[in-house]
Amino acid sequence: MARYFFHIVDGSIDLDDLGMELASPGDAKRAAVRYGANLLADDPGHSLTDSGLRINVTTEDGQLSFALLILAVDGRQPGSPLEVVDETVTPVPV
Amino acid sequence: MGDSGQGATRERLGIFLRKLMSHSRLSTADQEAVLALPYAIRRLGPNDTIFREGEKAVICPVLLSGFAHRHKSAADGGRQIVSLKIPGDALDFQSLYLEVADHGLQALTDVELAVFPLKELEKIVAPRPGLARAVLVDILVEASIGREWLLNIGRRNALARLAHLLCELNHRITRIAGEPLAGLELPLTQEQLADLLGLTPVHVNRTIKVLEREGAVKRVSRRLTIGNLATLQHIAGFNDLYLHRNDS
Repeated sequence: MARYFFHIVDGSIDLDDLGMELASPGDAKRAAVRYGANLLADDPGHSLTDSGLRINVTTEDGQLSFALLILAVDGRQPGSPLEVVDETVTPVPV
Repeated sequence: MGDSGQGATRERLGIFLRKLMSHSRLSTADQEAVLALPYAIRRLGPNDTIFREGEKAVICPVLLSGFAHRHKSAADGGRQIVSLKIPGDALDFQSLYLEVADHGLQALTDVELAVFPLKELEKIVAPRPGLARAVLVDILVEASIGREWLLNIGRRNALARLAHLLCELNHRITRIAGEPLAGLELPLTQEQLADLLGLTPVHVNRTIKVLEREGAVKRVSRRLTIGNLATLQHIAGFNDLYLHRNDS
């Protein structure tokens, strides 16, 4: 078991001083996704801001273990990563 | 673990009678019958089991002091606290009518229980319509609280959800204590709050911080007290109708 801390970065920074005891990095990732899902359910606008929603997950020694990013990307912007489309999307002329 | 038999005087059942009379009128004879119930005192510590899912009850415990909770578990081990019991609450009226416990009951804090043999309770309830009605109303109010919790978990955001729980607890405790509480200390840890509100403990912690910033709650060490009830009620959109204070 190890303690993981889930810090929110969504334009401002909200440091987690409590953390959660979890069995593995995989469990920590699942907990981060669940936490992110709860935050989005509370406020769907979270992912629509420029900065989106980012959860930095750190270990007890302060090292970044991973980050979960939830971000809406505008597909009409030139250079957008969404310009590379797949068969689910009808390409928009730029 | 528990001991029994000590301190079992009829005065100790006053809080139980007060709880019943907070929602139901009882004749003097009915009140006497409640106070004359034979019982044993049992004392348990935090997290001790009071009864388990699947057990067949032969007793009905009443909480004299401390807090307890009903819980159910999913197949993957996820636990949901489905009810919070406060001093004065009967913990198993259901077993008067249903044979098997469909949930577990656990002490949240140190608790003192008055434990009645179910048969003795049956004996005074069966011939007394006033008492039978009080038992029914008690069960109905608990069901009403359960419906409100369903709404709370299903449709309120984390902030309103936690605020609502605190408002409810304050109302229920104030009602049984007979006077507004200067500082209600929430008897739940953040992990237990998470199991109750369907959130992660980290999310509960973040939500408490927001309520703190609004002045709605105060945190002393790791315990929560109410800072400003009006603010809390506003955040929760709290309406105490479902607690059926004066309408039974």
